[in-house]
Amino acid sequence: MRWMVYAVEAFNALFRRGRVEAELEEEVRFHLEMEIEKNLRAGMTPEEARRVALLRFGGVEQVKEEVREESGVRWLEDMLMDLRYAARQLRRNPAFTAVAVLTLALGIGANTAVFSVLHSVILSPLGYHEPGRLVRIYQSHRTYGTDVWVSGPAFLDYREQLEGVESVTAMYNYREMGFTLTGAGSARRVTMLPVSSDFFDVYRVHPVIGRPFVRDEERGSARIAVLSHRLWQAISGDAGVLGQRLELDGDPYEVIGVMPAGFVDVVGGDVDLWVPLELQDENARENRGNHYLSVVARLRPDVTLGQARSRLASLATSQAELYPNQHEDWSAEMVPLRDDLVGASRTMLFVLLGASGLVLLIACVNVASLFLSRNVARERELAVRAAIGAGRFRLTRQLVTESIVIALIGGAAGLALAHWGVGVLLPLSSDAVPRAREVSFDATLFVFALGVTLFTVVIFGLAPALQFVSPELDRSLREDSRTGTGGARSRRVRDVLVTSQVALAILLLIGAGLLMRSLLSLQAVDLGISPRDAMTFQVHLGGPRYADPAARIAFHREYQDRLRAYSGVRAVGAVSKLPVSDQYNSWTFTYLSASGEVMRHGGGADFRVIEGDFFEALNIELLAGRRFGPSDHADAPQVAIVNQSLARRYYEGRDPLGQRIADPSVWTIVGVVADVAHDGRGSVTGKVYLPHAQFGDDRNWALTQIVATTIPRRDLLEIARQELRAIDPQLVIHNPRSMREVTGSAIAQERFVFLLLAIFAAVALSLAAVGIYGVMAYNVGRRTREFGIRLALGASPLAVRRSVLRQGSAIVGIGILGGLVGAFLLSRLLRSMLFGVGATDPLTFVLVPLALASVALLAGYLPARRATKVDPLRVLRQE
Amino acid sequence: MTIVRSELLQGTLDMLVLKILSLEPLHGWGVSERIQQMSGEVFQVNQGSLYPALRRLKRRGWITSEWRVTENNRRARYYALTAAGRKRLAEERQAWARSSAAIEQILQAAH
Repeated sequence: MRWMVYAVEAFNALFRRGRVEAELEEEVRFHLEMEIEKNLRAGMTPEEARRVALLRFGGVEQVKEEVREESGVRWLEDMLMDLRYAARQLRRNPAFTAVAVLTLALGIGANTAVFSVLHSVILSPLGYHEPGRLVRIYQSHRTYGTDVWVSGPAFLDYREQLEGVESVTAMYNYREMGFTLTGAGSARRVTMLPVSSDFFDVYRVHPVIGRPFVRDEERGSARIAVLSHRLWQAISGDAGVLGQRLELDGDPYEVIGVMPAGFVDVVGGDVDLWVPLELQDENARENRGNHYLSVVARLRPDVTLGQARSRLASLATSQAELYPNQHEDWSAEMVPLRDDLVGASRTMLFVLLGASGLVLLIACVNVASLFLSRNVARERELAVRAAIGAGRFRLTRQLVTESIVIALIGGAAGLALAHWGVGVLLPLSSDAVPRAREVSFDATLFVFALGVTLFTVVIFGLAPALQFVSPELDRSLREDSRTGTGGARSRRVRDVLVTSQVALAILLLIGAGLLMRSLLSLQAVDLGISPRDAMTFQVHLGGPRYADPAARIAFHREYQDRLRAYSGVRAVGAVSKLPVSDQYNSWTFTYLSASGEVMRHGGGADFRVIEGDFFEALNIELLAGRRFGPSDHADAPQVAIVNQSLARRYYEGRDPLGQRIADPSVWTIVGVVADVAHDGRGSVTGKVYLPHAQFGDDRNWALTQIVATTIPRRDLLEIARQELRAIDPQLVIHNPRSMREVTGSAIAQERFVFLLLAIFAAVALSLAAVGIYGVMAYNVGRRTREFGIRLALGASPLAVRRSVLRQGSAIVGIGILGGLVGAFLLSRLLRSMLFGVGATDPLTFVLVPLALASVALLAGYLPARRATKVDPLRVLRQE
Repeated sequence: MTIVRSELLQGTLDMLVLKILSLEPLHGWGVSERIQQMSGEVFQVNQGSLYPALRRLKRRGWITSEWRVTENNRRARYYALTAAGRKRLAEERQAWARSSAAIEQILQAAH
């Protein structure tokens, strides 16, 4: 009941103001009239009666004001009034409003966009039950490297012997995962991931209908599948799917379960169906040299990561004792799954967030400076308002309200900008940012944007407003508008603001400069291939037609011959994994001499299966021996070609030709080729090239075709499709990419960071230039009279200009110095992202300040020129 | 002889207004007149300060108001006590009795 009364009162006070006021007026008038009548009855004259009545009542307006105060919603009323007033002010200065809103929107937008990525990628937990207990397990080799995938027998050891983990699963995503699905409507391309039966326990996700696999079904011949929710919906979406037969590349599979909607397999990616991993065959049980499994484990709740790690380490030690040949120099490591997924991009994202924070600061400084100069223009207005009784608190509140309105509009625009920006940037970042698919806009972001907005109010709104807590108001009333200087205080504040702006811009520019230098050195890295004219694409040979390796070998031979026949095609080859697209098929070999004596056990190398003119197509130089030829057919002695690094490491001081490599089948080395990089930084490991003709029966290799040609991309692909149809109309071309795109995506992350930082730095530089221009123009305007007098007294324009620029260069100079010191301290944070350039690269640290100084000079020159255009006569006559 | 006029004790105005309105509904001027008469002209309310008090009491739901016509045929806002106001008045009287008794006791002891 009481709250209703309150609400009605509040409603009346706010929205029926006119009526409430009229009633108050009438009530007071009635009171006074009654009092006057009483006084008249007491014998006073009318004038006296009126005077005494008013005296006894107290100040009429004061009483009314006190009554209004009692309405209980005074603060709300004031706020609405402030808001109305602020809106009017902002509408009256559309240019000012637009600039302020736009500047803030840039800052807030940049921050929200970067944060949205950071939030989804790093801060939000993986979408599984107790995701903190999930770890990734790798094997690692003393010299060969860390983060090596796990061999079948090693995984089985973990599953049977590793203490402290609840369950551990292996995924075979180290293979061609694309299959053609038939038997359920039209044929479609699907992704299939073989997993061990523990997969469902590790992720704690079980099929919503049907059942998971069991251990007995961990064999390739099981031919059963669990579907993703998405694939289930696409096929039928009803429970009748259980028991249905699907064909994958012609092999029949029975559907036994469907995963819940929204389940994402973070290691496998967009998987459409899961099938049992083959763990019964010799490769899985015996071959400790084949590292092909991704292993994820769930720790027991009572076991810490440290304890689990030490148990894994001791298990690795006992493996090394039991199997010295395969496990010598090998150990194992355990990484929290999220860290593993996010990896190096953590640094990148935090650097970007820091950079966008700097942009925001600069934006705030600019808006603060805008507000300051506007407040100076309004100083007289404010002084008048203070003089007729507006409280200082009330005035400050009014100014802050204006800031809040600007900030909120800027924040809303920034949120929109961020939404748009993320939409534009994410497609560019797919190779650079993990979990990019999961980036989404949600309430957290809204809260973040709001927080950032309020932060900006504090930064840009409060400082200018507080200035008016103690202005020399009487002075501003006395000053006439032309001579008013706006106070030395406000000028100093503005100088400091611009100085800090310059310093912040320097920080960003140095960061961008270092990354640009790094990107340039990355682009100059010799990758060992010349990708100028090569086009790549894949053809998958699935189904019973290509079950026989001879059919696959014959296909590649015929297809490449057909392409080679076109004029303009220089060479055609194929490889199991393109250069510069990571390590793959890392194997441990045994190195033998020509006579069969073991020279080295368990040395790691990547192997590549090649077909046709692979080396010619990418201009990989033959250093010794010969390339593969038609004589290296399936029945001929097995041969291999090694790269220079491998020859140097394992056959130091000997001629590698004629030596042998065993895995355990034995190949004889017939050639040595130059090194090619496996990543964008030019990293090189040992490589063993094997002919597809002799190694094609190992598995159905998904070879990537490489065509070195001068034929334009579109025409070439048309030719490639046409020739493919001529051989087998059912085959299609996948994933066509130029070699340039392949090498480009290897440095995608570096390019992405540079792109963003360059955008931020450009924004920072322009904002700083605007800031410098603003403060210089303001200073010149303030000194117009002085310049007029000096010019009239015979000062040369040059001297006047110099005096203006001197003042500006002090501001900019201090800013540059401060920025350089800051950059020197902060640039080490970038170190892990830099390549071929130091974090305190002298060139960058010299060029960036020079560039900024020239921009500053330009921004300062225009006002300086205007100073000399002052007409002394006019200025003096204005007095 | 001059009447010694006292300032109203802080916080007692609300109680007095409630008391007066408990007798009959009145307009603001009437309330101020009544306070003065009933106190034997000891209290002189600064009449203006009555109106914020009336607004405050109304907001708290202790009194209501409506526009009526006086016996002299003029429009005036009359205030009346609500049930909540009656309860409040009883509470304030009790509290007043307690504190004035306590004060009296202290003053007695001082002799």
